[in-house]
Amino acid sequence: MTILSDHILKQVDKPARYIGGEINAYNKELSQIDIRFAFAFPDVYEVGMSHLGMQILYHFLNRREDTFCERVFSPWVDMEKIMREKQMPLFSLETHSPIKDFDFVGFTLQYEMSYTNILNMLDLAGIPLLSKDRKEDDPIIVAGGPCAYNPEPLAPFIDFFYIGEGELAYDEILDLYKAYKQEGRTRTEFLEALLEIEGMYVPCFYEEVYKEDGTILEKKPLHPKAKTKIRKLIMPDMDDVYYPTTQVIPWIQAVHDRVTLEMFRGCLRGCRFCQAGMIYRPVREKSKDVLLGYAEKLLASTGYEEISLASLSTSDYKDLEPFANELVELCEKECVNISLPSLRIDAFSVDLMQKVQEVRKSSLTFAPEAGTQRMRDVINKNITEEEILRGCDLAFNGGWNRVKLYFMLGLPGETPEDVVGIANLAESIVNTYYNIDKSKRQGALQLVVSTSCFVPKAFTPFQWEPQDTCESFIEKHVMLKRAISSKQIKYNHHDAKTSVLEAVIARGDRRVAGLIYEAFKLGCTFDSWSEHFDGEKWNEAARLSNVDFAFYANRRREYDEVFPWDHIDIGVTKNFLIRESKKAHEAVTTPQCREKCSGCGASKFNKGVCYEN
Amino acid sequence: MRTRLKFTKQGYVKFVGHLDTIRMFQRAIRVARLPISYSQGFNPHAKVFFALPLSVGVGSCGEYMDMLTDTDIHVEEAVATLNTILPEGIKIVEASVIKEGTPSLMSLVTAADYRITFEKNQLTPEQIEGAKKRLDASELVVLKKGKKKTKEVDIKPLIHHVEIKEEDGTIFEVRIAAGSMENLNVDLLLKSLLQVELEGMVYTIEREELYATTEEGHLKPLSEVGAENA
Repeated sequence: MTILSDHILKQVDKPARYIGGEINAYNKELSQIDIRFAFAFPDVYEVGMSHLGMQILYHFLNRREDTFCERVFSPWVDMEKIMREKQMPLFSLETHSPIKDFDFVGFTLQYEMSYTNILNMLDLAGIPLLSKDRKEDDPIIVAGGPCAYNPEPLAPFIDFFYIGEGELAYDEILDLYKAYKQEGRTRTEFLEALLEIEGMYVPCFYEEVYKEDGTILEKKPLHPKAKTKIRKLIMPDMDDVYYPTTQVIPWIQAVHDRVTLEMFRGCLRGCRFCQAGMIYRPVREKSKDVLLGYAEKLLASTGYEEISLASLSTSDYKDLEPFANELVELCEKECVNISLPSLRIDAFSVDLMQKVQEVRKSSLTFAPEAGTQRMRDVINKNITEEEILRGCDLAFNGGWNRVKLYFMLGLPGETPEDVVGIANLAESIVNTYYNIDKSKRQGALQLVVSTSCFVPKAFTPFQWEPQDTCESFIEKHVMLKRAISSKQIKYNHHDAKTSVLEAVIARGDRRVAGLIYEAFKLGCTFDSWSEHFDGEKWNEAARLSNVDFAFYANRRREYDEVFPWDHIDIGVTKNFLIRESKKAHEAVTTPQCREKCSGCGASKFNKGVCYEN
Repeated sequence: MRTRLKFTKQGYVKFVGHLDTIRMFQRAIRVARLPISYSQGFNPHAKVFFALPLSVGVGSCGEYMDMLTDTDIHVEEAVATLNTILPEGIKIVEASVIKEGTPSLMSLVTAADYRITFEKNQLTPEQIEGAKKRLDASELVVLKKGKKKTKEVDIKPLIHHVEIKEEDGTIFEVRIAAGSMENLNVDLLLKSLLQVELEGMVYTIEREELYATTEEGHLKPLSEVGAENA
């Protein structure tokens, strides 16, 4: 069985990436197993091991006695080279078996720039890249996760997409598969049967038809059972939803190496650039006592010294204050640190941060996203400059002196004043720091301003917007850099070239699959790693596949255009997104769900914040 | 209370680095809910102390660590619990309570046993003969690359004992200086004995025991030093 030798492991960097057998990892007797599922994360081990969704589904699938879920990650380039030289197939971590021997390979789609890694992993596994070329003994390739909400750029490579939350239908799918396997039914019969399970999108039963101008005419079902709308699956009650009481502890320090406690799904806020804020609606919380119970069990089973709260906006948790107090008490007893991402900067948060970080003050991170009030109103980031400065003042008085600020450049309707506004806001924060009493200051202020390039995403009110061109992004980088004068401010920006590609793929249709395919054939992998990204190869791939970046990235769409993802139903309606888009153009904000329901459409799931009162 | 554990690191886990191994032990001890002591300061860490780092890829059946607990523990029970938590390949094989005031493991180590196995046909008879000859010579001079210049060093005094056996391959059983005072790298020893570049060769290294030097100048396994019931 073992295809991984000492001799190979000695030649690669961080060999522990490939060995498996970590504390809390599963090992099962293969002869007792009916279904072998390979959970595939298309990036390197220490990135994939930080991913909460993988930890949840890994334990969820392994709770079934008839199923063994193993993990597989992208081998790093040094390992890939050896594997190709020795014709060694891609293997799982738990049993080091060839991935080709599995019943299912499930890819999680977390970011568009990981797509070439998916093709590379299939290729290393010896599995045909195109769904139509796969034979009866090839694994079924499934994909899920946030990027699956626009599945088309991967449609030819994936046998079926799972749209929604994994805990809901995997049992049904695996039971069905097991029965079909025992009855000796074919791959096509299984895929046909999936057409009747809600949330499953089987792309081979659809055809994308285009108009002369290159936009989409329709997505044509090719099978009588192929639904015209695929509705996402969401869990009704978060207190009843399966959550693991343990986590696999990575051998080498992962990007996030700690207990992760999922507080709720969805977000109340409705920032107009944010895809997660739309696709995970409605907000569904876990209750305080359920969370504390999980915290205790997870800490006990992992021995971690840190716990992190996971949600899109921690401050919006309904019972935050009593929950935080009890969690602090529990963690003090167990000598555990608490990490609090996604907090709004208000008095309560500063007070809470002070409680959990009594000795060493980490840096204060928050994301105003835009530099001027007008721009923040456009994106519906409901925070004022006054609130930002007051929050900073509180934190500075509390002993913080390091601040990180995140912004986006290229937001719809952005003017030079909005770009310079980022510098102005940063300078105001510097002034706030030097206005407080010297005795309370902790040395010099360190302020880091980071900008990313706005990427319009499917299922957001900005899905019709053109992205800035690469040149425009670079001009804005220079403009902002010049506008910053204080030496306490350090400015970083993301690379514009990868953002353009992200925009192409994020709103891509089936033709974009050709681009990804050509890029992979030219040798593109690990595109999200700046040292591996090769823009020239992508340009060449665009020529070969006849994909015009500008058509996908820089074109303004009409409200009546058919989108590649229109057959996916996230609950939130297109009408709501159009309303939001129009309000954005007028810089009018929309209140958050708890303040006032805006009728987005997510209430049709009959659960969550929509029915709180 | 200070408890000394002797453990193995065999199979795939030998590819887990030293620091990652320490972190893994710290977590396993927390999972076992042993009353481990913590250091003071900004980043309190669990008080576990290892004898000598093991290179990535080197297996062992004789690793040592000391663990400090705030209260007394039942050693056999603690070992049994830990062994259910520790990953495959890492197993505690001996444990003893160590007297207060015994020097740290790190400062005790002076020598180590290694067993190096070259697969069949990896070495020529001439290379093996050459190694035997070099062992019989009065000195074994190697070039050691320092930060600034390369200098000649005689490593002969660092070799206690080498035995070469032909079984299903060629086996070197060596006892060499190890620790913070004097240390001989196994690969350096092999390279200078065999006069070959090791890259690309198929061989395995396993550490078998770690020793301290007694007042009388004898080598004694670490498990026999400072134990309360010894």
